[in-house]
Order: sequence, then C-alpha cells, then structure tokens
Amino acid sequence: MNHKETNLEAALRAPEPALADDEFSARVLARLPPRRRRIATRRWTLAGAACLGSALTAFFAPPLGEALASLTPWMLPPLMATTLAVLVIVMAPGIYFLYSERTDR
Amino acid sequence: MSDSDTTLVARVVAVDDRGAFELLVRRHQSGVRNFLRRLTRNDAERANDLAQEAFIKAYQALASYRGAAQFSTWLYRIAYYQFLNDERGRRSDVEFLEDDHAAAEDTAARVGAALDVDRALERLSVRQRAVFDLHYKKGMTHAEVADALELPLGTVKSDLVRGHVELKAWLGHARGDTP
Repeated sequence: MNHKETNLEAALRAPEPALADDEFSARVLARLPPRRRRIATRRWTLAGAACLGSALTAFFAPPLGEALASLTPWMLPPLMATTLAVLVIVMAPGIYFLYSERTDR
Repeated sequence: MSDSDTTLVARVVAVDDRGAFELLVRRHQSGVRNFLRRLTRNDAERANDLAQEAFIKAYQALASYRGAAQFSTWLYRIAYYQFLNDERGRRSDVEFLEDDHAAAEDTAARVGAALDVDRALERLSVRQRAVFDLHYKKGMTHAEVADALELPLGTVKSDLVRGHVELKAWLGHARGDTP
C-alpha cells in the first residue's frame, strides 16, 4: 500500500463527529403512537377477576354443586360439580383476556 | 453498567417501556443521522426527518426484531430503506435506478479542486455511499454491511474496491497528480 492509499484509508477511517441529541430523541418520542394498554395491567385484571370468581364460587358453590349434581346425579357427584363450577368461573375471564390480547394485535 | 441493546429492546417489547426506547434512540441517533447525512449528500434537515421516521418505524417493528443481527445493523437497514423510499418519491424510478451508475461515471473534471475525501464520497452512488459509511465509519465487517443493506457479500466487496478506485482517481485529479 503506497503513501497515497494510506492517506485515503486513514481519511476514510477518521471518526465521524458525534451529533448532539438536541431534542432529537424527545421529538421521536413525541411522535410515537399512543401507548399500548399495558400488559401488566391486564395480567393484574385477569388475576383479580380470577380471585373474585373463585371467591364467589366458594360462597355459592355448595348449592351450585348440589344443583348440578342433582341434575346429573349419575355423572357428577357434588364435589366434582363444585370443582367444575370453580374451573368454569376461573377460566372464563382468562379465556376472554387471552382472546382480547390476540385481537388487539 | 448500561443495559445492552437487546435488554432495552426486550423491555420495549414486553411492557412498552418508552424510557428504554428513548435510551436506544439516544444511543444510536448520532450514527443514524450521520449515515443519512452521507446518503442525502449532507442535507442535515432531510437526514434528521428521515432518521425520525426510521426510529418510529423501528419502534413499530420492534417485535419482529429477532436478535439474529445486532440491533444497530437492523436499525441501519430500516434507515437505508427509509432513504430509498423517500428518494423514489422525489424522483421517477428510472432516474433513481440510473443514479446508481451515473455517479460512478462522473468524471474527475466535474470535481472541484478543493475536493476532500468527504466531498469525494458524495460523488459515489447511493449504494456505495451506504457501503462505505457502514464499513469505514460504523466499523461493520463486509458481512455485516451485506446483512444491513441486504446485498450479496460480493457486491459489498466490489463496491468497496470500485469505490476506492474512483475516490483515488477523483482525489488525484483534484490535487493535480498525474495517473
């Protein structure tokens, strides 16, 4: 590599000036689309709904379980009916929130 | 210790952490704006507008960033395409495609005597300017440049070789050297 080429190589590799931000980042942030609904908030809502559903089920479960068992006495003993009711009530909000997450994308 | 780009990207994707995205913008704004200045032949205002658009596009597409390449490589690719789309909007497609070769055919006679390397770089084609900037100013390897600009590796290497020849010819002529 001759002298001329060395000079060109050095000039090409010379560091470029660091540009000051000068509110550039702030302008970019200001132009971002509206904030998505926070996923963490949704998770807490889901957990809250599941807890509330469980509490309500626990409160109403004995009559609910007995009612279900009386409808299908040969299939569901009262304890299993209660468990089934709890599962349905807890899972329903979960399925709803998972579905809404997918449709939001 | 500052968070890595990958960590910041993960925070933006997971919980829409705008603070993390601001850190990414602050970290890369200078490089992206300089890159776009090079492509726009030092039109600072246009480069800033394009850089803003590039960062917004990057934010919108962040969930698709898989981390296969460095974040900066992915970001420069977005900036490059942002420039190309803008350039196409300004000129007809035919003119745009011809530009890639027109600059290379530019003769030394059209180059001023006070030419320096930066001015000479402006004479290169759009693609060559992008290749030279990413390789020499951003320190990317040939493979990384090829990845960023979605070009074959051979094209990147030949752009660098041909660009060198052209730069040497232009600079030599501007200084009155004999070939």
